[in-house]
Amino acid sequence: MKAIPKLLAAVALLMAAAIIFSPLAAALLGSGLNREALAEAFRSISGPLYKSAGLALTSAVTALFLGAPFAILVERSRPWLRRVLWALGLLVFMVPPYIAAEAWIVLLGPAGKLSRAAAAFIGLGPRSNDPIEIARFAVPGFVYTWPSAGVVMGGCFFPIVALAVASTYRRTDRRIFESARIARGTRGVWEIAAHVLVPPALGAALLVFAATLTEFAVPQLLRVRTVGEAIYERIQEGDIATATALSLPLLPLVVSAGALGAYVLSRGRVANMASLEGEVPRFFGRDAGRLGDLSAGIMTLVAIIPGLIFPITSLIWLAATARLPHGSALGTHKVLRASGFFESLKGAWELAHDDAIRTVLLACLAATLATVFATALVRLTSNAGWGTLAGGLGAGLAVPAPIVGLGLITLWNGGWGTALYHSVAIVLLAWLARFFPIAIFLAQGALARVPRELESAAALAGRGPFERIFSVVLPIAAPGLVAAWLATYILSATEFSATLLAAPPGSPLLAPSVVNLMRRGQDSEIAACQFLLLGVIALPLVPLALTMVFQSRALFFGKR
Amino acid sequence: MDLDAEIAHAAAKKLPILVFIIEPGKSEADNEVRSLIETLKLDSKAKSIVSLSFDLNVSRNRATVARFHVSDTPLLLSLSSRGVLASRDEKPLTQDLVFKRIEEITQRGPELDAKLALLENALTKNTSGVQGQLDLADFLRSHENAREAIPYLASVAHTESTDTVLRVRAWVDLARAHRWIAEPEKGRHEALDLLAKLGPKSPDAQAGSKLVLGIQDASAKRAALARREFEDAIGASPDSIYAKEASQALAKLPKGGKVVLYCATDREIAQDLIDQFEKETGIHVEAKFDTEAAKSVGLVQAIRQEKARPQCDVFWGGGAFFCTILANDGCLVPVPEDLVKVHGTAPCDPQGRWLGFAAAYRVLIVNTAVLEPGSRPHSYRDLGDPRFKGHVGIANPLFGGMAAHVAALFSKLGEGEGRQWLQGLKKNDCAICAGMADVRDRVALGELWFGITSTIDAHVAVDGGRPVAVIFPDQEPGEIGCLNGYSTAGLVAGAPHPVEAERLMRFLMTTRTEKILADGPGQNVGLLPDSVVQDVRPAWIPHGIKTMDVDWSEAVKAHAAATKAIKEILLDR
Repeated sequence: MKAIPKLLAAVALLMAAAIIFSPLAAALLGSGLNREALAEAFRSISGPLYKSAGLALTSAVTALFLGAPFAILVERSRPWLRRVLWALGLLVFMVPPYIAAEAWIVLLGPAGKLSRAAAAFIGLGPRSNDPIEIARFAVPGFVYTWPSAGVVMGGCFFPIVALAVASTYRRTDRRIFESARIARGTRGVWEIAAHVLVPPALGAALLVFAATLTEFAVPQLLRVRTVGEAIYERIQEGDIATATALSLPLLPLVVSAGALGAYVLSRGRVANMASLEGEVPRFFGRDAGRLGDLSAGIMTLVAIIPGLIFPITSLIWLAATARLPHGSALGTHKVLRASGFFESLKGAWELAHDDAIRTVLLACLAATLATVFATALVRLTSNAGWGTLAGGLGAGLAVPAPIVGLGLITLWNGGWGTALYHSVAIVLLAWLARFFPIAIFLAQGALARVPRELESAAALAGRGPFERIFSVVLPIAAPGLVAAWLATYILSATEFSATLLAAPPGSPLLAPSVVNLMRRGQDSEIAACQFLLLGVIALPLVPLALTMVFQSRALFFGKR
Repeated sequence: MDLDAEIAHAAAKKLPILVFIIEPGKSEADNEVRSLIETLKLDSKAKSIVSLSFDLNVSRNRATVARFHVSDTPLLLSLSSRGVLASRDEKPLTQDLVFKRIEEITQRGPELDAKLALLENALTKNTSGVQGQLDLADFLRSHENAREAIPYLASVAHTESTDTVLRVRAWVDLARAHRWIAEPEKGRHEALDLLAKLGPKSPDAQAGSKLVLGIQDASAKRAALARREFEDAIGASPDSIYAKEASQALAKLPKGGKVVLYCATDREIAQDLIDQFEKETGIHVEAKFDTEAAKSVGLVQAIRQEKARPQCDVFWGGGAFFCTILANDGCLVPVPEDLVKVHGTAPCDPQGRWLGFAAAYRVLIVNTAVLEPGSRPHSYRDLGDPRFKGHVGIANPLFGGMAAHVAALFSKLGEGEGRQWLQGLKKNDCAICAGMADVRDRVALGELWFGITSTIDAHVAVDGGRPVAVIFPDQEPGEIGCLNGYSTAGLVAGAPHPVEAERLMRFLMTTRTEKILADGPGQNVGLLPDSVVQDVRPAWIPHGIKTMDVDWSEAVKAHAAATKAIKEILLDR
């Protein structure tokens, strides 16, 4: 009988591996490897690889240092404030990193609005009143470096860490902190907090590390030459196999990160034994008070600076300082050069409303499939003792987006797969290949917090396997699973590199459409396009948020 | 069963013929007719006829009855003793109907045979009588005896001394007769022969042959092809009977069709044209767009990746460089010759595999707040001028338009001078930006003083009132001129919708298209002959721009050396 769960776990693992790695395998094997080209490509990759790793590490550390304190402080604030601060935090997740990078340049670059003002303020500004000298004044800065790119990426990905930490914190009985404080004072609180919160925080930071490794748009904008550039270069030359092979050195990095993540999460389960006495913690510790609220507000402000405040400030600044259109260059435009933000928004909506609806529906479906399948996979593999193997699937994050798209073309454009290739289902496959590892990771975190003893007790009480899942597992794991759904949904809806390759003709998706429109935009028009993207993506989250507000035991944001 | 032998046998006995064509097992009606045939054998009325039945489950019977143009079973045909078809009935076939047809053919059969004999005798008396052959053929065709009419029609059609009008008529009927007896390839061959031999001198021949080809395409459910053939028939000889028939056939054709467009040109630029094409032709365009943020590697690679099973019909964008790469990979096919011919002096592939239109120039965008008019650059070489050290930028030359630009410079200047230029950029700390739009934004912000961008991107900053000026570089005598990064379009090899693709291609290669592009966000300059005459250009782009003379196939050859130099010199790899 014990063989059946293992068999199911093996089947689930194989299916997941097929979803995640089949595009990679198809791209690698589909066009044949040219050994000379491969050797030549690898000879020059050490520099970019070093920068990619450095950038990803910086990103992970930034996300960790922004996300973990944000989650703890916000969770300790009053319910109404908590909801507002979480809403701000999650908005960051919806801003594509390349928009944040652009804002980084506009505000902090050599000719940045803030950097120049700051330099002038501390007396390092231009020495002359000559307008040309003033215009030429540039601030030597760090914007075009890999650490800077890492900070931008980390600033955009910090909600991943925050979600992981917060979902753990929510389900932790605060009595353990009180006990620790009584027994060993503040040091005891820190120690127990480290046991409870460091594992999910570290695991999520590793996820951010993996997700940053293959990022292309931000390093390009910030002029950092990463492995991604080498991969794109090979793709442009039509050497897909070598391009794919170049992403292979990233796999060990990500596999290590995934395995480490799985390991720290398994340790995290031990720290959560405190919730044995009840499904829902009843004791919440001392009220943080106004000081706590203030700290939460300040932390939120700090955390959302790179991913939200800078992009908004930059867009507003540029839009406000733009002069009237130059008559001689004015053309006939559908979306752009309309008479302002609202006209542009209307035009963009008219052009892309079908894309928007399609995107929302598909992203919801992708997120639901990913969450359900990830939950089943994690349950089966952890029961079979193969949790680390599931963690290894995180290596899929190292597969660059265009490789996923081109691999899917090789795989499905032919034979019986053609019907799928001609449908939007191919986009679902692309999104699952890219973001399923994230859903698996967050589901692992969520399910690791379910005490086995509770399940055993339910079994002793005569509950069947499905009853145990619905009455014990899901209520406890729900916050983490909602986080998995949210992460997959938002990442899918804003993905464009693999989407534009995989999407069937005539069925465009919103993110590629908006990115396409934005290239020709003035700042107010770019703001309109960006607003459309955010608004549409946020739309399905409204019912979820309302549920959270009105239900006292909401899945994620519920009252304490 | 040998049908001709059976007819000869019936003729000898002067008995009319009933032919049943069935496919037992296919439908209840077929099974019932099989029972009916068995019953009929016992009936006295049936003794006055020759009754033949063909079971289509026997494959050779299918070939035998092809002459009757069988589209469904069961089928009842009544023939005179010499095989002249008098009636055709489809299901439901009842016993009463069969008896009724027996009575009719018994009475009418001799009359039809007599008429046939009369026409044959007239022809025997004057063997070369064209009119006699046509009369006989008309009689046979009017009774759906197309197979029997073919020799007479062929004789008239292929006799060069015959009057052209009669030849055309006979040839068209000949092609139709072949189609009627399930010989579509022969019919097509005859129609094409007619077009080739008489088409050049006779509009009616063109109209007639196109009509037949259109009918064939329509019956094969190739609606788009049929539409084009019918339109050609109407256009060739609008007042002819063929044109009238083509008009009627055209009206019956289902509307629509679709074409798959991979569009590396921005959606904001292309969408108006796509909408207009759909409105005019009823052909639905399924478009797939690229984005600069993905370095435009997407669609070109998608076409390469789909090469074994192409999904795309038309590729628009990518420029001459990438279209040449695609063409060299065998992904593009030559466009129709007439399109190349009317393209005139506008740029195109020597083998016609892509056509260029809608110019966009590679210019220097300069921040006017930091560079006074007297100190501004005028050449791409100024990117290496030490005066501007640390304040110049280009798009990443490994990708997209800038990769094409550097390859073009290498082919034009030679590898040595190309490398020298790159070394100048390196010494000057040239910023490698994410794309041409990024260069524009950095210059508009004042972070860079100037850089290379495209007029498409530059005008966004000009339009937005940013402190920038556009300089068309290298315009002095002896200088190489600025690069013309015009748009391109090509037909994809093995495209699933070739006719619609050609139609879209023809739509794109018009002055009207270039006018829309000049007025729209692309701000392109017309390159097609009529556009040049009408001076299609945005007001801010001057006349007489000197452009770099680039052989794009040479640029593609120089690409490898250029990439190697970029990596070694600019990127330290």
